[in-house]
Amino acid sequence: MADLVTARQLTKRFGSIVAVDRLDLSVRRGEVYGLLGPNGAGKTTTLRILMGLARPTSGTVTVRGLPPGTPEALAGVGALVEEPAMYPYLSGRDNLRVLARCCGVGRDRVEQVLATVELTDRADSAVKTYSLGMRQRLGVAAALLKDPELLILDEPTNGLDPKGMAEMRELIRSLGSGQRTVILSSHLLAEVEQVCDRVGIISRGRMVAEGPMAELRGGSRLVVDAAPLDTARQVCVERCGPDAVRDVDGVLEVVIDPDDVPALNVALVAAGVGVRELRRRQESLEAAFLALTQEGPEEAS
Amino acid sequence: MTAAIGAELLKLRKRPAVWVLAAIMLASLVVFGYLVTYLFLVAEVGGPVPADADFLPDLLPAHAVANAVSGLAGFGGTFGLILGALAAGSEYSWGTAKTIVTQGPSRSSIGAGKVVGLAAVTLVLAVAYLVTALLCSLVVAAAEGASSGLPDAATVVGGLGAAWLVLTVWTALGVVLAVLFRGTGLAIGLGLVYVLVVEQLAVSLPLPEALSDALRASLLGPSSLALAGGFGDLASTATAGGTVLDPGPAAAVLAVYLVVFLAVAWLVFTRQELG
Repeated sequence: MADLVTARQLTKRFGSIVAVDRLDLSVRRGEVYGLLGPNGAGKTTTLRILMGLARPTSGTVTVRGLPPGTPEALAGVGALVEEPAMYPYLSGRDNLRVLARCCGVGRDRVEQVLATVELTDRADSAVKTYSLGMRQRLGVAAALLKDPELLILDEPTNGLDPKGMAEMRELIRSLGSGQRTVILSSHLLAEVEQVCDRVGIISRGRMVAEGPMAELRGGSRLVVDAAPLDTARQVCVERCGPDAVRDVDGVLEVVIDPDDVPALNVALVAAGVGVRELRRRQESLEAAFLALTQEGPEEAS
Repeated sequence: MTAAIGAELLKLRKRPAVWVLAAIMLASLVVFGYLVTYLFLVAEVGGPVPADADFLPDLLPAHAVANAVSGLAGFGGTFGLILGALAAGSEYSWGTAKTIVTQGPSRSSIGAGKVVGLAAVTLVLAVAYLVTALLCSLVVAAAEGASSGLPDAATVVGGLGAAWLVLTVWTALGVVLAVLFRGTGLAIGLGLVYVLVVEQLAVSLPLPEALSDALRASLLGPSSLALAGGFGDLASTATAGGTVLDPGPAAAVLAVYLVVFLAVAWLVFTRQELG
């Protein structure tokens, strides 16, 4: 799959502050890519560079194979960067009409995107009367006006209540289900975990890991709850090796190929072990995130 | 660019602040350009105002264009300044400059759309200003039984052009300040300081006459007043005594200001980072 967005050694400085530090980024066509990092990690600055709102200090960036921020590159990109910025005195519909004129799309498209984000009923109300959730949805509608090949959403669930967050995630999932490429920036692990195919983890302006979700989680282990535990441990070590077995809170955790689990179960039973439970335990993205960013749990919500 | 102009006109047309500004501007003309002067004349003579009374000719239709243009040069520029600062500065304070730019049009076409949209608004305001002045003068003429002869078409067209130029230059000053300071508040504040303090102090400085004249000839306010002076001397203003330029050169000075303001705004806007 060809990369739709690439950044190589991307650096952005604000005076003595390095917001983005030699960052490499690859977003493939058709995927939902999560840009994950704690607040202040450099996610928004990276997205601003991708949209041509800020210039990199050094490094190279291409969006759809073109320099970022040019009308040609932006023709296929829709974005909601930081908070949705709209004209408060205009209605939602008029805001979209203003933007539609700027990007050369017709009124019928305005109605389509209003329907997509379920704002048709309130489209004639002034934006200053909208709730934060409605403004976020209007921002997504604005980003969708051009029916873009690449959709960039920066913290789209910021400030939303749990119901609003769930609705927004559902919307993002549906938007990314076709051919469209989505870059979702978030500091919320659960959000990225639920929505994204691949993830890039940014910490202090640097890309510390990038890859498929499963790869970043670091694989899975088999939890063996059995008695007597010593006999069970001996059987597991014989079949999987001593390094693959560890004791955790009164059970065993075993690194094992999923295809070998039935044979291990047979061996345990044959050795007179009573097997209470065999289950797979997926490493959480949170564990990987914390290990990579070395942030405390309070910063990685 | 046509699309950007359409978008700008939609924004300006539906913005309450633009209508409020226009209403106050026209009300200022009615009150300070006609009503106060007329009431002063009536109170002074205690009855019908004699035809040769000072200031009465200023209020009649023959002088309506001069009265309107000099009023616009005197205090209308402030409204233009606020209009330009609001139209451009709000794009920063609301963050909508970022929203518009990411929709894809080039920054040059966005800027051109803004300028043409504002120029259309200032043209409408200039027309409304002249029409209001003509209507007020007709009312005074009817009340006093004085001549209701209108100025000739060339004077009206020239006055409209002058009013439009003055208002547009001041609007461009508001725009460039808003682009430089990325917002509305500081742009309006500094603009008003320039209008009310810097220009007033500059013309009051005890400088040698040649230097003083050169300074007056190069400032926005005196140039605006000098242009207004081309439509007739008014007894109620200090226009005649306060200018050193003829209307033609004054218009050229204003045109240079307009070009410089727009060029600086374009240079900054097309290069600045947003967000």
